Amino acid sequence: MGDNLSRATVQAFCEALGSRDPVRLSQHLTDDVEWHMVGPVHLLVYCGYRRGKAAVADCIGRLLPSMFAVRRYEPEEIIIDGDTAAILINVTAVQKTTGRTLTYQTAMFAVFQDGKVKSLKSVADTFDMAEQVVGHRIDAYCTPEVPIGDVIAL
Amino acid sequence: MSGPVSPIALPKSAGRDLPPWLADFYRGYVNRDPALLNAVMHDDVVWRLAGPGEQFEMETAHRGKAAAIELVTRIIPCFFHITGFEFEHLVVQGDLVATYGHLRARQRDTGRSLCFRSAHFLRFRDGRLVSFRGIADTFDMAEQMVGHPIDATKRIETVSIVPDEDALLTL
Repeated sequence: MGDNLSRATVQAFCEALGSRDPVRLSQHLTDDVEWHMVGPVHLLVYCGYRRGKAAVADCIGRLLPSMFAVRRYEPEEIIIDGDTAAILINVTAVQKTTGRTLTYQTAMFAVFQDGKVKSLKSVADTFDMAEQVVGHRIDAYCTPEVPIGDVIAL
Repeated sequence: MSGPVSPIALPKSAGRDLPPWLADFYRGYVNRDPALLNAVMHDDVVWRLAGPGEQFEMETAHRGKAAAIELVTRIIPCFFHITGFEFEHLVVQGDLVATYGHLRARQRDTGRSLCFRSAHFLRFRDGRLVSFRGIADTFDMAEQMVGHPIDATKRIETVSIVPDEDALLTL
């Protein structure tokens, strides 16, 4: 495990990620980067697993901006241990389709190699995010009338 | 089940064990051990959980040792018993700690096994926990707790128990 990861390197990555600029972000990723943002993909299209710089750049540079325009992207906490950084980020974004302002926190765990991110896992309060996206309180107990997501049997 | 639960699993890639003070905290958390929690938490600890607290009748912010211990030992077990943490990342920088991985639990009412991703950000002072912040994939957690996919188009219907203004005027 390396121990050369600096706070400046982590902050530069966060700024690139917050910019949603795929070219800028790519400079902070290894070619075979693994990227996993957990969450309901049918509501938050940028969630899921991606591998490779191009796939991640497309996710952050195209998919995410198709839903949100980020207005604020500020790390609240950065903890560094060896080659790994844990980052707690406060995000404010405007939903493209409605103009609604959304605020949420996301926790990211990034492993760096030679100053670039080689893997990232993130988790957020996805139920709250889903409610903000749909614009109302979701009744979790209501049994769905039709299947949600992929059809798995006919 | 008898005896204390083995609370945590670290990946081999971690190459180390939890620091003793952190191991004590997680042992107290998983085993719902008030004495151990009392020993590892600061009097003014702030404990925050992300999630649909209103739907599951669970407050998400707790301040003070007594409130935090009550949350871990009485309130959370009303919904599920945490059986372990499987950490994929352990990040320790002085008094600051962050963990990421899977939280495993058994739902009290149904006996169903639950497993969802979560991250913890912890801050210690003088070896005692002063701040705990838990962030989880709460949509996945909620679907496992209710036992079916959640239709996000279904909104909570609210019924006011207070008469509307017109009704009040006629009273």
